[in-house]
Amino acid sequence: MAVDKGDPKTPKDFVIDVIYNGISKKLTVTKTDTVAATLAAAIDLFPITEQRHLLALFDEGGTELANEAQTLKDAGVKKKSRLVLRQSVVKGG
Amino acid sequence: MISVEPGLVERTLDELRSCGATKQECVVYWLAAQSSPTHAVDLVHPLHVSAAGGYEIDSGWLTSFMISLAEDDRTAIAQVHTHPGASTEHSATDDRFALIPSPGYVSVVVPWFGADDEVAAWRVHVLQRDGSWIVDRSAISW
Repeated sequence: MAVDKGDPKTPKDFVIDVIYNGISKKLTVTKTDTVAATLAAAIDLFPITEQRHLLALFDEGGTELANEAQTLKDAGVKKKSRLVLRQSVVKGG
Repeated sequence: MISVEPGLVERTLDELRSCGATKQECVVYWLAAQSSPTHAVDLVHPLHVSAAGGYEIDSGWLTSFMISLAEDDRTAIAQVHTHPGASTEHSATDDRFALIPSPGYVSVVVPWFGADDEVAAWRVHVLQRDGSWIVDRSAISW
């Protein structure tokens, strides 16, 4: 997600917070990053098992960023946004 | 190894029994301070739906809970949930849909909807890096 700040066509990067199990970490993104790329980068921030495909990002209102092809801009993610990384579904039986 | 605040096991049983009423499954989560992540000091009883054969946590509650953990500098280190009969083995659902998919996360299964006082019957499962679970009662210092 590194950007060349010398290229005026390159979107500016900004920092968001990703929360996983109470731990908050910073992630640098750009508005054109996809939800899928952001999710992968967020998962890499934390000690998570190989079952990565069960995780998703949620905004503070509880809405899942379910369209992984969507850009962060279109998903409403802005500078200083807080996203929650968690299992899409939690259940037992 | 997880250590448990005195009285937490009893509070856990109280929650599981009052919610499940020996008819439905229930779950609570044990919480620790981020500065002392192996000592369970408190529990939370999530908003969930349940039946005799399972439970599912409310999605909105989950997101709010994760944010509250961050704001309180806490972390979830274990889940304790009931099963209807004597079996305390993890189901496939238990394996895949635990609260925290991180190595070392602990899942305790309590038989008979928690009606029995015998804590020795509780089975302790510990999540491994590859996503599998092993049974290891020594993961908790009772």
